[in-house]
Amino acid sequence: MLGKREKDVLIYFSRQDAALCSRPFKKAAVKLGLTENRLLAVLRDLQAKGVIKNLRGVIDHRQAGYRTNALIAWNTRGLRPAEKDDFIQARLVSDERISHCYQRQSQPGFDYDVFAMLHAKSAAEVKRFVRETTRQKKIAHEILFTEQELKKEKMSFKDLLE
Amino acid sequence: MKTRYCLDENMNRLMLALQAGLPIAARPYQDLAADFGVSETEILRRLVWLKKQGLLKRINFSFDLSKLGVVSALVGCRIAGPDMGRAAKIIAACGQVTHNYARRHRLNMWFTISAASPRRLKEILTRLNSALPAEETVVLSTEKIYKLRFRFHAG
Repeated sequence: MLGKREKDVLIYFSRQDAALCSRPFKKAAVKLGLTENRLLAVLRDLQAKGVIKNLRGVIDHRQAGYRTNALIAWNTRGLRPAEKDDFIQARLVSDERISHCYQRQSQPGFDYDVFAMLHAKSAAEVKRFVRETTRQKKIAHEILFTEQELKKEKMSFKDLLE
Repeated sequence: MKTRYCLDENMNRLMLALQAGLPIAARPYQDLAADFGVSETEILRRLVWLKKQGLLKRINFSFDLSKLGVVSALVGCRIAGPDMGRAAKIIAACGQVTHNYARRHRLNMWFTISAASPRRLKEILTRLNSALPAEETVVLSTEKIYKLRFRFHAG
């Protein structure tokens, strides 16, 4: 469990980006009532706990030329565990165009267990990717092309931590 | 419309380095500058430029809240064409929803939802379900995260 100070730090950084200046945590520390060193210690501790994965830049993939994206769902239950592992690691996780990859509990009406988001430069590239990933083994799948982004925002952690 | 960039190799390397991650340090951009053999001021100048171009959206922390017991699910709904706008509004108003996309599929609206506990997730879903004009809904709870990362290069 987290203490109040750690929660406050998480909530603060779920809303605030790191400033593009020499010492981006200086102002944040003042807002949080901590010294800069204390704040850095809390952040590093959260990283050691795995709650913070890293501090990184978020690229606008559309601006970077990745105009098409799709949610792809596979049914991997016909694969042996080692085959499934290889499929996920070698085909999906290691591909830099895949941003998200999850195992989910499938449901009647949507019988797939592995999901990934692919960012590509065209629909043809998405289809080619799916063809290549499923060529060796017959793996049932569906491609759900993104038509419109209706909501995308940073979630405040307030509701999640209290 | 200017959407494609041909960045020089240094800028591409910088974009990849940014996505790989910066140290949690008082001056995180200083290490980056050292890797590129330039001053911190010069690195900051390049970052401001990338941001101005719209290529760099932001620099912030990425989190794994599953470490704190937070649970999530992907929800797919079939919404009739005329109801799409209303459904999108209902979903947008839900604070626990981070993403919602219209997709080319029988299940044409997909959103992700997070909550502090499985019980809370169920409550939110029940509430959303009764408000949404959906003809069919599938709730796919997250069992395992294999990858959650963006790493793109331009050009």
